Amino acid sequence: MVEVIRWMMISGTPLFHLSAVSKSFGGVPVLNAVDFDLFPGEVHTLMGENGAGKSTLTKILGGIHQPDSGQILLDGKPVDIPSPHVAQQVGIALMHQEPLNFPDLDVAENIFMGRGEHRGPLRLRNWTAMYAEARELLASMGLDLDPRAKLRGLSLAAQQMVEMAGALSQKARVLLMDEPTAALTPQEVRELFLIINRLKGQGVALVFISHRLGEVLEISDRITVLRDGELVGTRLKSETSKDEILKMMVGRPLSALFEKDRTTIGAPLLRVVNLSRRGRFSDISFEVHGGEIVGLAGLVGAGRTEVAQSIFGLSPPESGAVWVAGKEARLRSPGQALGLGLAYVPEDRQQHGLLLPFAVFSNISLPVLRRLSPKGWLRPGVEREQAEKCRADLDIHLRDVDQPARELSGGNQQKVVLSKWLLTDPRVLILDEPTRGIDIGAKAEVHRLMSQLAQQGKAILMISSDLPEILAMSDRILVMREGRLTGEFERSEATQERIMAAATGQSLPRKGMGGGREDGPVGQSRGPCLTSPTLSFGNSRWFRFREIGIAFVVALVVLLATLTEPRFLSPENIRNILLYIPLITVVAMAEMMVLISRNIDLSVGSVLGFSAIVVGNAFIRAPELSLWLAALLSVCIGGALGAVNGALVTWMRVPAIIATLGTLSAYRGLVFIVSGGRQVDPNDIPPDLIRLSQTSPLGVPWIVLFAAIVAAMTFVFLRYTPTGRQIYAVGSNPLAARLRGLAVDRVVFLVFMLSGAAAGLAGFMYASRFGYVNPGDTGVGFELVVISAAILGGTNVFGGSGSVMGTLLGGLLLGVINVALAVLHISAFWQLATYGIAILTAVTVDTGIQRRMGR
Amino acid sequence: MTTSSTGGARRKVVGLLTRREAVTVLLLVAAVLFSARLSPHFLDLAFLLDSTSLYMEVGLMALAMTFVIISGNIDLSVASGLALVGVGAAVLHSRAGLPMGWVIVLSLALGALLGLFNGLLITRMRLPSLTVTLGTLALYRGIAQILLGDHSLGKFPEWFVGIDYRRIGGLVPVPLLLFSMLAILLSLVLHRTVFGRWTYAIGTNEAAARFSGIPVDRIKVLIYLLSGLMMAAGGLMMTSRLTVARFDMATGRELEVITAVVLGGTDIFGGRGSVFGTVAALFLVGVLRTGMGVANIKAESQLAVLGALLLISVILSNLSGRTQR
Repeated sequence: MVEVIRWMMISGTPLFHLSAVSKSFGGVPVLNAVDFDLFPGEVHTLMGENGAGKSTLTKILGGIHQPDSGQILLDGKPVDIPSPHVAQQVGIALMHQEPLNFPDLDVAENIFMGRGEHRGPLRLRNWTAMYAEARELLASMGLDLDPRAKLRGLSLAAQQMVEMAGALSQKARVLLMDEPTAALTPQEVRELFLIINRLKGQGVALVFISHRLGEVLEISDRITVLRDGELVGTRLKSETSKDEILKMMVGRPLSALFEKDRTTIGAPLLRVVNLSRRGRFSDISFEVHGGEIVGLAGLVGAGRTEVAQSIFGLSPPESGAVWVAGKEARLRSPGQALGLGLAYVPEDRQQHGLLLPFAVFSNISLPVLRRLSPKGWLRPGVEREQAEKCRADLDIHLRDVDQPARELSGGNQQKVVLSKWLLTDPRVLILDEPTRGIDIGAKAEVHRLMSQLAQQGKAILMISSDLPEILAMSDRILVMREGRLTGEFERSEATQERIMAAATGQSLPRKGMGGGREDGPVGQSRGPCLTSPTLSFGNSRWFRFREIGIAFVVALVVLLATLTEPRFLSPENIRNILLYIPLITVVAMAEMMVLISRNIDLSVGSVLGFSAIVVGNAFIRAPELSLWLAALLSVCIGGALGAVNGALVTWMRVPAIIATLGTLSAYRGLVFIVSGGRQVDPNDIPPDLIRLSQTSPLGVPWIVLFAAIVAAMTFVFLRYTPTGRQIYAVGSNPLAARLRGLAVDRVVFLVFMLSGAAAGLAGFMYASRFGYVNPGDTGVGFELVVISAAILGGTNVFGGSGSVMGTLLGGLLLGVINVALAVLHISAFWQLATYGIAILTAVTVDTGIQRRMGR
Repeated sequence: MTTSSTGGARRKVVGLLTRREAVTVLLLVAAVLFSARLSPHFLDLAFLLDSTSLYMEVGLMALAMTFVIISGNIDLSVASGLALVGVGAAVLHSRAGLPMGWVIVLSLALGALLGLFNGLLITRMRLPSLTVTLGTLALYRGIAQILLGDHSLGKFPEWFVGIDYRRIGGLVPVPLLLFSMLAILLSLVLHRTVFGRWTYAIGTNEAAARFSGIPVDRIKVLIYLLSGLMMAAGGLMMTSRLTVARFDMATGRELEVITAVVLGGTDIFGGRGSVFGTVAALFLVGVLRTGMGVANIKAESQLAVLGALLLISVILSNLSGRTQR
């Protein structure tokens, strides 16, 4: 292989060539005149410390970022890659650090969404063909993965494989992989490498990013090292060594890393005994003494963060004990932990460490706010003073302490987080990846600070995936693997190799105390089958289960009503139930689509009222108007109002709940303006229209048939058309949808237009069903009824899931309850309260079951 | 030193003008001028003050809703809760024969309970507030309907009814006074206390707030409790004003409450907003309605103007300053 590449490098043109590419964010250069090239069939690894510019480089190739200067050549010709969609078209696939996928959709759709349609007759989705192709594709990668499994239930590794499969389905020529192994077990890494080698054989060019040198030397053909946005050099694997790469990355010999000063080790301040949490970690026991820094090493996903968060009270353990300074602490909340002198600097600075829009001073004062504020009254002067002190102590670079934390660089943000916790004067400090993503200068400062804190007698537990950091800073090193402690080393006996061995389970060198028992991993080692059976049950059958649940409730209500009053199932009552449902069904179908797309439409009741009043007035002016024309008119009017909603939400970027709250009022006002406040009386409405609610050729009233047709069309639309499937994708993960090149705005706009059109049709049906239209009450509060039907039917208010069957049953339940109350001579006044209880019960049971299934 | 402090002052002035509330205040001024042109009666002070009584119940609930929305939640059940408290008060007094003093205490307790129920469902069961309060929107009004059916119930003592006809100093109606006092109090709580800071923190980033040791769940429950108390205050006030209670009191008013809060510059996604903005928006809506009423524009037609107003104000602020997010 090496020979081939060498030959190609001398003779051929590379597939890709980046020359002198530069990029900066907010004035800070991230890439400075970097050259990079890529040949077909090679694995070209990018290495460098955090912030070196590796991710930025891959994102430029993937079309997410545009270079400020420099040129990209594809097959020797200059190209522009202005968007991920274009990247996809020229054959570049990007696998993100965090898999960007659609958790509510199944494996096959995640592979093909936005990439390939499987059209059958009538240009409808051919699911069988899609599953067959997915199965074939997965098999060609050597994966045994069910294409029908919902993505949410899969392990991270399996999700990555699905993302790779997606890249392959579009015959990608270039695959960019940003730290694909960071969260994988060694077994899973092996599987990944098998696939990578297979792709190489097919001539795909791969860009690989990893921090694990051993891995890199195994899989790469060439290695390019970046440092602080500059190109340090590119080496053939066969001609380089570990030491050379390390030196290139760090820019100095390794020994120059800051090392912890010697301290006197005091009494144990933190003692953890047999701590366990099901599925996360088990039997964790260790001690941290005053003046000591204990490093906690392991692979990502080994359970280290979970242990730390358990100790800090964020997710209480199921068994075991935590002792702080000789006293047992029953921790239920971070507030309590704080009071006992614990502090936790989280791994994810931006999401968990800081309130980015808040001023620096109010970030720093947050954990000690109660102490700084006598009787609960804020004293911003004191807060600023404290922040100024921290700024001086830790040398935080900022304009002033009123600056929002968002504007600071990573290193300075981390110093703010550290300040915030140091102000609480903790006895025990837990640092989770304290130097991830900050520059080398700030890193050394953080290390110096940690050493000082240890000297002051504080106990420090440091979680880090950075082995040199662990080795340089720790007095003692603990290693976790798959939820258990698998190694413990004194500073003097620790080496990178021994730690990695304990972290990956290749062999288990360990020393006596604090460990637990000798055994294998918590979970069975995951074989080639990457689907966890319990979860896939919970998710793929969830909706069917949900629908059965609600059907059962409907049946129960019917049964109870029939037992008490045998005439409940008389044709008359069935007709009543049937007449109650059509309006709800028609609008609830559309509202469900809006909810699936992660939006909401509160204006449907007003749209219904508007359409009904316009149709009614049309009949007043032109009594001879054809019914079909009137129906068409109502749909068009509704669609137009819905389009206004859609435009507000997509082009004007008004949040859906506000946009439709506004149009709820505005459209209702229009109803009065158009009608002049005058009701459309029964004698204004042609008898033919009213007859639609009474008879039809098939024995059921026409409006029931209308509703059935709308439901059937919705079903086909959502299940068998590309646009219908895109609604689910958009709601499941809008960002991923955009990056896949889906026209998110177009989908959202369409959904609102359909919602309006459905409400318009319902207005026409209203005139038929009730025989009059009152501007003051037609459709008022209807939005709540249809949203209730959708929620009862299991539609997720946060988007991504919902089914026609469920929503139909939800509407049916409302109708059955309504008629049952009447038949049982229970006052109709009970109806509203019953609806309320039904909604609350449905969502409570829902979340209860979902939680039990461990979602 | 001098230069930096004037620089700071200039920044403050610029900051004040670009704030979302500034749009609301400008619109309020415009609305007053516009209404004054429609009818000379409009600028009669006594008339203006009296007209506020019509929307003080909405105002009370909007004060609490400001907290709810800033903390990243929503409460759709406020108007239903108001009706239930009103009906509850009528039933306790007219059917159970309790003295009115007790009825007021119990009504406030009932409101607190309704808020608590929302808050506990949301925090303990980890349910989305939109769904929970949609459910209690139906439930609370439903219970009111079960209690009272389609009847009106009243027969309150003389001193309780007609709160809007009592004026302090012969000029300021009691509802306006109560509202103003509560607005000042809650403004202090939101902007000057730890509780207020925590409310913003939770709405900005709930996870980070939790990680910082803030008792997130307790704060949320307290906010819903506040919302419940305001439903109760609004319910008593409206019952006093209408002299009777009905189950369909204040139907749909939750949307007016939310409109006032959002129009006042509070971010529907939480983390930003102020009591001042809500108050300004409330009077903006109130003045517009009164003005249009004086000009003989029908109440229902006014809805079109109000809806458009909400949309325009959000679009304006989108255009001016959404870049921050």
